[in-house]
Amino acid sequence: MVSGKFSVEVRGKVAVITTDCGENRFNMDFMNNFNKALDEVESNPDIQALITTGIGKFYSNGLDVNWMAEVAKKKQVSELGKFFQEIIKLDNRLLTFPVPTIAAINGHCVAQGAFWALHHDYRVMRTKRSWFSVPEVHLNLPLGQHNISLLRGIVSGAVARDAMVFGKWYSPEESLQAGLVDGLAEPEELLDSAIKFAHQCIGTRGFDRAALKKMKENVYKDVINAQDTMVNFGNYTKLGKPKL
Amino acid sequence: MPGGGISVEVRDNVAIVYMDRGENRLNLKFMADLNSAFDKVLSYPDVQAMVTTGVGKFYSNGIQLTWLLPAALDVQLEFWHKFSELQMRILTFPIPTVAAINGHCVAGGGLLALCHDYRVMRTKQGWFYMSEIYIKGRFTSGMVTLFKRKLPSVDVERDVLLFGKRLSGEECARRAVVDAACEQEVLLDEAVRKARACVGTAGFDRPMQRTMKEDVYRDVVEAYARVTLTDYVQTIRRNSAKL
Repeated sequence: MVSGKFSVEVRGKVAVITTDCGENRFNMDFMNNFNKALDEVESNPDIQALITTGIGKFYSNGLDVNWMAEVAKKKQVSELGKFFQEIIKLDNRLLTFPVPTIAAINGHCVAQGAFWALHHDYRVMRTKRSWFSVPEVHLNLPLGQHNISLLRGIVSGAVARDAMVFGKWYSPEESLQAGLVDGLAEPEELLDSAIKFAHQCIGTRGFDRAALKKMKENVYKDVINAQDTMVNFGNYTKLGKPKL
Repeated sequence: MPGGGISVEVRDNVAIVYMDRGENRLNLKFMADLNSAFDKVLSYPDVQAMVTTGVGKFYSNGIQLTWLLPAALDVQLEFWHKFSELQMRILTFPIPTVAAINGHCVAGGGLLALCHDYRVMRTKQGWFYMSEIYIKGRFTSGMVTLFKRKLPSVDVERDVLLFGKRLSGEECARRAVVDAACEQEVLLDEAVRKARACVGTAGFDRPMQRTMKEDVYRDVVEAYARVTLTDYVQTIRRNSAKL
């Protein structure tokens, strides 16, 4: 256990990190907790796969723009710069995690939340009543080259166009058709479905952790090395409602 | 309604650019007129998408080689510079773009069509192909990057680029070179419908749409910018002397 809202559960060879933080939005706290949970998983030699999931209506609704607006209000702009760097670091950590990773998408999976899911090896999504999208274009937010090249490696050019250039919202069925997720499951069966995926991936022997990590670093080299330009925080903080 | 030359019609939130110059071959004047039409489209604040189409048997049969190949070096350089700019302008256009391919779409015409967000093509008549392999035309690394982004798969790249295969509208749709194929009579309506479906109820903020395209297609834009056109034109001049 890491904290009340983050839990790490071990089911045989599979670890499940569950986040129970409402919309599961990304801020420094959320990422620090995630890193600690990942540390716990990595330090357990018996674990051969990792599942991440949320509780309730959201897998993750993206960046915590309210928190970002607060930080901006306190004139701690360097904090925001560090925040964006930490996001990329955490993304890369997950992308090259030394065991197979599966996102069990229990709810809405939007913007940074969607890209977080896309950094996993596999995605299983619940049916009905959840959206998958990267709607940044509708919010006047840019996409970085890191995330663009990640999505390009997973879906076709036509889906990349619809999803990123035009910010399309995908239902679970459409997500599967577009290749954004690898499988669907009824909500009650989502975790079991993800665990089945994990076992299929592991097979009988699993993977040597160092070899798997190295392989992911090589296969995803373009994503990891993608150069991003300076972020204009104003676009994000404009969206947030800082607490008075 | 088209009336010869390049004209613009506005249907509510969609602008249609008609190219009505026979084979719609690309030269400096054609491109200048096309750019003016694009300027006109963007001058309407209520226009949320653009469709381009030809009139008659051709979307565009490519570059006017009879003019370009014998031209002086500085004219050729100017042409290739402006042609690259035009392609990148379409690729990063601040509103969604649909190419309604009403007929033959060849070489340079194919490049223009591929720069659009969506392509719909007529069935039963008209070919889509890249003829460069047959005329010793060369693809710049910019064009190759564009093809890799816009053509759906490696086997299509092989057939279209290496082997100059001619594709009908039906084949283009089947192999996802275009997003849909339909009868000529309903082609424009289908293109407008696609444009409206893309735009949705709100449309897109124009600068943001442009920025998003520049980001998503950054590798293409940068590849085009890196091409040394003087080297390219010298190569073409040497090759065309041997044709």
